[in-house]
Formats: sequence, structure tokens, C-alpha cells
Amino acid sequence: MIDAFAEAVRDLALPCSLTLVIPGVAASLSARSNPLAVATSTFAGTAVVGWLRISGQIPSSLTWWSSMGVGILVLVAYGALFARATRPGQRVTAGLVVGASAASIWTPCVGEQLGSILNRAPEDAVGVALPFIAFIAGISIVAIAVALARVGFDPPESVSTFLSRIGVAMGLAIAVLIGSGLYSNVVAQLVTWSL
Amino acid sequence: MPSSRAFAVGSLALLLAAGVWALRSSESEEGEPESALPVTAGTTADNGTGLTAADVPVLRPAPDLVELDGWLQTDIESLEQLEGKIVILQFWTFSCSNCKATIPTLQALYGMYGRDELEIVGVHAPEFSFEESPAAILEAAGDLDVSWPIALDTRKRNFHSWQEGRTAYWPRTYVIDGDGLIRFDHIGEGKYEDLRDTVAALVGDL
Repeated sequence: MIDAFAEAVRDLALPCSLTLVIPGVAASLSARSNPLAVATSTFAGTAVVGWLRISGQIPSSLTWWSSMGVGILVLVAYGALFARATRPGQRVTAGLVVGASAASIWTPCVGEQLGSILNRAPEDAVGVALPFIAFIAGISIVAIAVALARVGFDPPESVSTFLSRIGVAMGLAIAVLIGSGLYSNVVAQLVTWSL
Repeated sequence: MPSSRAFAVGSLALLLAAGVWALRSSESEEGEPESALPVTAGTTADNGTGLTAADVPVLRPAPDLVELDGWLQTDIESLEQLEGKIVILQFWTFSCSNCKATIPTLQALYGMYGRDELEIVGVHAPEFSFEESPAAILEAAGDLDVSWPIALDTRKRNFHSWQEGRTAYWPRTYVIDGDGLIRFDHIGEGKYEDLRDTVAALVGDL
């Protein structure tokens, strides 16, 4: 489990990991309040949908209409995170939606540890759940760190609002890219730069 | 400082420490790459692994490669033409970092055995559009020292049909014996020693 966590941390800057890292960070920034609860629920949404995908319970790729639907859901979720009137439970739900949608479009970098999980997943979905959660925890470390920093350092209202605006702008861009099917083009560009 | 803020700062410090520890532990593991293992050829009796072909389970018959978009770096046109040899078949794409990490092991195996014993087929299934051009694939193959035959699976028909279930991954490595049966199947990096042992056992049985 620790090895899976370490592998995820090592691969954080790779384009394939950024498809999970960026939506998570955007959610932690967007949240007007309870960023830690949002980061935790984003992590939970990613872990659950990711696990359903690797164990073959749900399809691995989105059709154009499901991309559009996910894009709209993500748009609503980031909007809910940013809105002042949103209740705490709704923020947690929005975090779950962001995490689940990110996991639904994620193409993993299959290193040794994740490879070991994926090889076992079809036959032993329950057995790989914990190591997979550890892997997703490693990927989620940046979003959780951002949320902890916001709680721990409690910036002034103006700074907090500015951070939320950055987060929601990132989130809206992600929603539009997913909905229009252009998300993979952005990842392709990141891959090209990383070569 | 309110207790919730102190808790958050403490947790952040712990989280960052865990991240740094994870990075350092990964770096120390990278210092001993499994792919650097010496690869030794031999017969069943002296392959150094104690493993014989009979010990290597038969997983399933290998499907043929169908509706390919061409081949590069070879005259062969189908897997059938490789019957009687051990074939390592890997689904890869040239910008995939994990695929690249497996190449040194494949190169070592390719250099260790003759072409009448072992062939490698890299089935190139692009993830992104910039990976689709044969010229780009050839250039990348040159840069990566990939000298074995490359089958172009640009439309990813084989990538999806070979990989059972709903999700397909890069890299995925198979070993096919002389009778066209899959004897090794692995997703991702790693299991290099198992790959080496499987090939040694199967080559020894030819």
C-alpha cells in the first residue's frame, strides 16, 4: 500500500496524473468554505469511480453525449462550490461529483505498483481496493495540501475570495473541455511538452 | 490559534513530510532498476531459473492481429508468420513513459536470443493524434532504440479486442509460445524477472 502511495506521489507531475490533480486542486480552491471536506469528498469520488473502472464495473471511456453530461455536472459542481449559499452537504456532493468525473476521464500511467493493482483487479476487486485507495491518496495529496493550507493559514477574506475565483475559473475551463470533448487535446499538449 | 487551524497546519506538515518521504523512497528504488537484471539465454536445463515450459501456465490462445494499419521495420504481415518462435507482443505508444521504462528489458532480451528463437512485436496503439503518424513513430523508435517490428494499430481495434474487459492499458505485455498460446500477460511496468524467466523457459522448449 505504501509503495502504491509512493508511486502516485512520484508520478504527480506526469500529464496522466494531472487529469486527476488539476480538478482536485480546483475544487479545493473553489470551495468558499469547508475546503478540507471538499478535498476529502473529491478524493472519495475519485477512489470510488476509479475502482469501479479498474474492476470493470463501468465502461472505461465516455461517449460524446456522456462527455457532455459529465461536463454539465462538473460545471454545476464547481458553481456550487463557489456559491456562498451552498450548504455544507451540497459542497461535499459537489466534491464527490468533481472527483468522480475526473476518474471517469482518467487514463492512468501504469507504473509497477498500479500495474500490479490493475493485473489483479478483474479477479480480486475487493483485494485491490485498499492499495488502489492508497494510490489515489498519493494523487490527491496536492489537493488535500491546498485545502489544509487554506484551513491552517486562514487567509483574509479578500485573498480567500481571490483563490476561490481562480479555482472556479479552472473548474469552468475543465467543465467546458470535458463537455466539448477537447480535454484529451489539452492532455496531449501537456504530453508533447513533457517529451 | 484555534485548535482546528493548529490541526490543519499539523496535518499539512505531516502530509508534506509523507510526500517527501514517498519521493525519496521512489528515488532509492529507482537506483536498483529491475530492468538492469542480466538476461541469460539457455536451454530448459540451464536457463538458470529452474523454470521449465511445463511450469508456465497456458492462459489462452492468442488472437490474431486484425485490421492493422500497416507494419514498420519488418517484412512480416501477420502473427501467423512467427509461428514456431516465442513472441513478446507489447501494446505501447511512444509518448507513454511507462512503455518507455520497459524498453531496456525488451532490448536486453532481443539481444540475447536469435531471431529464430524470439521475436518482439510492438503493437503501436496511439493515445493521442500526434502519435498516429508513421513518420513520428519511426523517429521515436529510432530515438528509443526500438529495433523490432512495429505493428500499427492506429484505430486501436486490437488494443481493445486483445485486452479483455472494459478497460485497456499501455503498456500491456504478452508472451506467446510457438503454438500461438499466451503464456504471460502483464499490465504496466515491472515483472521483468518473470518475463525473463518465462521467455527462457519457453525458448528452452523450442
